[in-house]
Amino acid sequence: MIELRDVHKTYRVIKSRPGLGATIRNLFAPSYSYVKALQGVSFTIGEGELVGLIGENGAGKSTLVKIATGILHPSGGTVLLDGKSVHDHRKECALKFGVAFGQRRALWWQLSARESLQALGRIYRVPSSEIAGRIEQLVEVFELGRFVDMPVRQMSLGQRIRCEVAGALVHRPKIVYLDEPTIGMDVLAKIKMREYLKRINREDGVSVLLTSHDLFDVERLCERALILDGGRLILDETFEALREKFCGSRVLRLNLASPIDDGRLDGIDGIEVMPGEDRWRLKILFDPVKRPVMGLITELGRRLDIVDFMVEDLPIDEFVAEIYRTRGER
Amino acid sequence: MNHYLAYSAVAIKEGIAFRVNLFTSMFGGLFQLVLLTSVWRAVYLGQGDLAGYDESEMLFYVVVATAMGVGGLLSVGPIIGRRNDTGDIVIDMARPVSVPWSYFFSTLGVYALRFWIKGIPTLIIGLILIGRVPPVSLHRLAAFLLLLAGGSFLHFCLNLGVASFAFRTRSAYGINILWTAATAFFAGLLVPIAFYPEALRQVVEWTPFPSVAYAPIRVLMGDEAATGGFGALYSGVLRFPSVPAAVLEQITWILIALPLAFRVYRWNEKSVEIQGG
Repeated sequence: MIELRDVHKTYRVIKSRPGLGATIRNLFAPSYSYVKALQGVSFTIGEGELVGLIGENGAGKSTLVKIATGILHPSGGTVLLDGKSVHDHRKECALKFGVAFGQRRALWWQLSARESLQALGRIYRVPSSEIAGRIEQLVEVFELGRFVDMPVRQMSLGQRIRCEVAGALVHRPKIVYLDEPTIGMDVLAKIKMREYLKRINREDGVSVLLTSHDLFDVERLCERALILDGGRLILDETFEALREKFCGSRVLRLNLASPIDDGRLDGIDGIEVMPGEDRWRLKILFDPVKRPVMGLITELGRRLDIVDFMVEDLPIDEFVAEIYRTRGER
Repeated sequence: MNHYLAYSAVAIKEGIAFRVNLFTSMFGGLFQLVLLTSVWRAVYLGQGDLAGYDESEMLFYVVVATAMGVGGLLSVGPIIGRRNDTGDIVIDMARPVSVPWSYFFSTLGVYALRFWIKGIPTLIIGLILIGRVPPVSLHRLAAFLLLLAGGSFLHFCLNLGVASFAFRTRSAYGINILWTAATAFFAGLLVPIAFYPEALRQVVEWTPFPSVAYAPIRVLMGDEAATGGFGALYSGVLRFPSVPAAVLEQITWILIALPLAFRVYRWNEKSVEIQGG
């Protein structure tokens, strides 16, 4: 359905120099640096796939979404939607996808959300006899009833984002790009959005590419993860495969009666101390096959004043962080 | 077409939401009018004709030109500037429409409001202020309205091409200021082109700007409109009457400017760089 082939994007960024003199020099002789936002990214998203795009700040997630939607032109490579270049056939391709950017406004500030959704329906060529019905459905799904007739500028951030996501779906696209759509959304709204996206995925085969800083959201909705680091696609796996890969790992959380001193855990094999909150609370990553939990607790108990402990699966954000840490060490 | 008209409808609704802005900017046009008519009255003290205009003709010219300037030209520069500065242009580019045409229909909505709320009141109050409504034949009025619509569209095309350089410079602020000044000067919105030195006048007449405002106003005033550039070619060499020659000159410039502006826009659009979410 959508295919990215060896996509590169390099931004030219003006170098700011400190001081008034340097600022004036910059006016006449600016110097530039080049930022490689994407470096040879290739992947395919098939019909009905739910894909999460994960990456640290500046990893290239938003750039990738903008290139995939034909908004930004890549410095190299191609993006095909149903076999057609999204950059050469931008208008035709745009009818097939919906896009919501959490930090951009697709709705008109002075109009009510309902008027904005009606205008979007017309722009996306939804038959006029169907627009009202589709809007009512979205109002119901996203629970917009209380504020859909309010001017967008008077809405809270969460209310506005819910309307923005509804706006991306009014024309029933085949693929939905959601770039940080959950900013400002409350828990119930997030759940409603996930349920609706899963429903249209199941019933209509709609594909979704979701980027979010909240990995819990991504994991709850998506089946497949794409992880970007420094503009490169470092991992493309299903969440299930990722869990299997890391399923051996557990996190041991310890609450201590007294703060831990440096070097107290030196010499204990098969564990990794994870960044913790303070010196009274420890997080230790271990593999229970190699280090059975009772033996580990006993050994730790000899060295630490343990008040309480808990063993849990490695949460999604921890294993993504683990992937980054592993790459950083290489 | 319906999907583009949605942009006009939205622009009208948004314009009405900003009605205080609309009415206050109408007063801005009126202040400009009072200032210009006072200056020209002072210039004409003790003078007869200047560059072929007597005082009452000059005042009429000023009133029509000011009304056109405040309420009669399709300007796309402010939209491009705003959307580029905020980064919301990414939203426009994600939609299944031609972005320049969507801007055209948006400005058409703005224009529909400005024409009635700013242009017409400025014209009426200006005519009351100068105390003179010259006799205008119906066919001259019709030709003026046709040329006004064409001039406005030509202004949109020229403005589109120039304003899109903001995608390269990253800001439209300087470009828009320069554009406003250049249009006022070259299109004869401040001073009739007949007042310019001969060499400058000849250069200006071979640009599209006189077709934006100067030619329509001269047609309304019953003057020879097509005296230079392509107009002189049509009226002098091909022997067309003055008004059809002015219309043909404008059409010529639109046929040149429209594809060129879109080509320049598309070239500049490739430089759009909106980083971050």
